Amino acid sequence: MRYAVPVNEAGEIPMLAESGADELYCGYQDARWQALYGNHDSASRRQGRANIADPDALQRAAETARSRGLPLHLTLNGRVSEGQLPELLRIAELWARCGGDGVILRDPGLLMLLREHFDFHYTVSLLTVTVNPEGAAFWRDLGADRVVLPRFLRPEEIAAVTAGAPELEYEVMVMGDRCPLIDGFCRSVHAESFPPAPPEAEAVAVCETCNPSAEAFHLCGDLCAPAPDPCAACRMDELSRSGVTIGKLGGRGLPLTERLRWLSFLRTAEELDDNKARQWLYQKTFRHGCSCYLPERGGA
Amino acid sequence: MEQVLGHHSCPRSLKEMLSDPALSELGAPLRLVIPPVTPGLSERFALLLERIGTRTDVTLTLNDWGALAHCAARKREGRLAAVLCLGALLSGQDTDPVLETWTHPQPDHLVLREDGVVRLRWTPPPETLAAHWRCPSAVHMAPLLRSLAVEEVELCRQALEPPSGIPGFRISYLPYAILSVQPCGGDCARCGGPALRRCGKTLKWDRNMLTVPAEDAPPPEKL
Repeated sequence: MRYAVPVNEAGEIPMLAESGADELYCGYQDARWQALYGNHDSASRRQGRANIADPDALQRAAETARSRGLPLHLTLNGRVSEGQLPELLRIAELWARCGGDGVILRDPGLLMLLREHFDFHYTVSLLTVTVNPEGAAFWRDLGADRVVLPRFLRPEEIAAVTAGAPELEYEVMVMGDRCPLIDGFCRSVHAESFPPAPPEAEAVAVCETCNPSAEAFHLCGDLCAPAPDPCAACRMDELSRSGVTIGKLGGRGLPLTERLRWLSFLRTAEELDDNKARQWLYQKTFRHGCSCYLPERGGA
Repeated sequence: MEQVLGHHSCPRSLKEMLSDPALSELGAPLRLVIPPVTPGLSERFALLLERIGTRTDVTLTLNDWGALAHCAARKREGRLAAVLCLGALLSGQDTDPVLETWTHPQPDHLVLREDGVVRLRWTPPPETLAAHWRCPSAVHMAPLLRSLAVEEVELCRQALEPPSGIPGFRISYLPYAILSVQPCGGDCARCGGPALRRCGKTLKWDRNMLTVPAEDAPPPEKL
């Protein structure tokens, strides 16, 4: 299994490479985008520090990844509207000038548009909720090279989907970011929010925003406490047999130490002989009980 | 009067649809709302398509690209005559009630950020952002939708008014907004989740789908 790991800045890439990353992905949100769409509707459904913030930093990330031999994919997988297409083309143009390798997206219209202009490697995000072989073939026919499958599919279902277009690459989430909802069908806004200050506190600054609230906006957080460190280390063989060749690590915007810990764990776990040993390693590494990523075998 | 069977996201609804007598009744227009067709549902979906054959009084509301592409191929081959509708799970609409509060003046808030206590002061969202919130993705997908023989697009009534039309397509409006969907856990007795409110609105579970009910959603208006 190859691992695709999120990167927030060029300086992280050497350590991620040395820890066993095979591919990288990143977001991009510059001042121009923020002026048009704020921080709420990023091009990649992540806000703030989960994104590289200027062209020079993006160029550095692309160059550093290339020097390490790691493909770097740019996420453009937010919900797209017609008015955003020129800006997304601008970002794709910048990405092409940086020598970027791939783009991750969810919108079939955007995929068709980008393919007219750019020769990227195209990954279809798990936000497309591709659940059947006809869906895989649909994306192949639109020009996709890879499909990321949704979290709720079991390995036997994944095998049925990948059979629909075996010439594509397939990727699944294997660590981190286990949303309890089907995030491709979720329209809840992911906005940055902050805890309320005491009423007597003195403000040191004023921030003009259309989101003047201290509410938490992650609907998933209202539904259940997110399971810490969700992991599919025990299911890698099943996933490989079902046609998956890339395991995706979540954690965009998380500190580098967290992502390195996940990656290091997965690399060590794959060297172990059995799942009992992997579970022991997991509990030793993360100091809590197992949190399995995939649905149970033979479930609903 | 059109009869509606099915559900946007509940896998069990496909089984229920197949055993519903309305599926065999001719004469009354029928709308079949199809959840994403996972491998476990493929046989039932194939059976359903055989049952409706070349009936012209059926609209299929499809909620995954694979099922839509499959139906488009059957139409091209003359094996299906139903109207194809792009379901609300694919039409790409922002439905979160929080957006309504962000487009209306709000009182200042003091919050704790990394840089200290900050006063958040409401300003109108950029016009480009407000326009984005109101514009479904289906608008720019029109050429693709035409190639897939789609004739109708399903939109939600939502906190921010959706467009009143997409040129070349009939629009059907759900009387509520779909906010999110949970994976099916296979246990219908435990389907759904806790009661939730969001930005002063009461959310409602409809099986595994979380909605903003009709009473909280205004009628559509022109952009």
